[in-house]
Amino acid sequence: MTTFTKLLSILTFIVGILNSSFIMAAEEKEKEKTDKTENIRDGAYLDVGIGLTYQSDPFIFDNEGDSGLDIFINARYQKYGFFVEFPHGTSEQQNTVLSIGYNFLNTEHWSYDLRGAMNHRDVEYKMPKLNIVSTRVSHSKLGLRILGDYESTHVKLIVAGSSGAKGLYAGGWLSQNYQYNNWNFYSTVGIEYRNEDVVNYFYGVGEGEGEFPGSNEIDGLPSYQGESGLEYTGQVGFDYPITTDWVFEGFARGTFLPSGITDSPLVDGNAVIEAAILVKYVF
Amino acid sequence: MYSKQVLILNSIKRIFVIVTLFMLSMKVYSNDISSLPKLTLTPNQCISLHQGQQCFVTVNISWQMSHAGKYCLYSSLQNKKITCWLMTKSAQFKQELVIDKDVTFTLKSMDDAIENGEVIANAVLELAWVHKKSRRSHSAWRVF
Repeated sequence: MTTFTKLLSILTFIVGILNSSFIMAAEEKEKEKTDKTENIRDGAYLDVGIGLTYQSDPFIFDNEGDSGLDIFINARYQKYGFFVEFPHGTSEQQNTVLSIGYNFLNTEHWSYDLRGAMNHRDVEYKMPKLNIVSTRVSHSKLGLRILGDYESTHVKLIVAGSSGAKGLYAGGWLSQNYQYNNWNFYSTVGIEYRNEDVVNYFYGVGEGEGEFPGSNEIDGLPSYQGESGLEYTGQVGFDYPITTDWVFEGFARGTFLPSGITDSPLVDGNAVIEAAILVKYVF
Repeated sequence: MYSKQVLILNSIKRIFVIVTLFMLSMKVYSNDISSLPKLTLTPNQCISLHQGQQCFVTVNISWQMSHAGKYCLYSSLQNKKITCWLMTKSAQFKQELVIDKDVTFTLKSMDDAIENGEVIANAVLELAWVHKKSRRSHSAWRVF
């Protein structure tokens, strides 16, 4: 049994236990539905915002994600369970440009999606000495996403493929919302796992690199093969309704990288700090 | 010949300005008369992020009448009157509220001849929101 299958089985088992009591209740409610073909998550959502963003990352040769003015877009459309998502908002773990999937099961509090998505952003290292660009393209891979929705508490669990020969990604997120007057605050914690193949695809130097076959180094950097590891992320944020269409939003997020990444000669540090304030229009 | 045309043009302009001013003054006058009694809420909406959330607002209530008298303010949030004014024809009042539905404010004239007062004006503080409550919120997807 592969690691991927094991993780998938464990995840399904855990959620199955959590979910068992709700499935019966949900089935009863489903019977009451007059339109049995309707999927409760069908619908459309779009918000577009503009704001100032700050990013401090330890990726030495990657200039992606500079601070400054930025556009934020969150878009989702679902019909008959099939969905398309364009997540470029303030949320954590939105590394995909576009994702498509199928929402195959909904219970009272849980939704299950099969989804094709990137689970790491593209990385483009611009090497100063040789003036070459080493691009690590992130690919869309199939995975299982489970979303839990309990009033002010939200859960997200993902097991999916990722870039790399046998790339594997798993992530778990817990978010809690609070209200103070008309201000809405949230705090989120997340743990993400990436196996050795993913780490080496994005942060390795030398062997197996398509652009530099047979080479053991890039731009004078020593060859490097990393290890699998866990990333930890904490995020706090707020939303304030200015009008029924406009929302003032902000967040701060810190991600701590595992040693498998931070030991890479392409990385100089162990944390990614991001923050933004913006106004967005909700359609 | 040219100067005569200019004179005529200037006269037309003057007449146009006078007529416009007259019509504007009539409009203002008619507004003053027809808009009374007036009960105004600022703001007239309380906006929460999600439908179903409690909404917090400080509302300024102002009213204006054509005649001084005894007037009392009521709201749909409570049976008892909020406050009353004696021998006055305009007033302002500020109230902090936490609402979960629309609130109607009512100004009543408390003439001794009418037992429960006569409703003079109504104004509605509307509860509004950004995100409509759905069977499954978009929050989970948006938060992550």
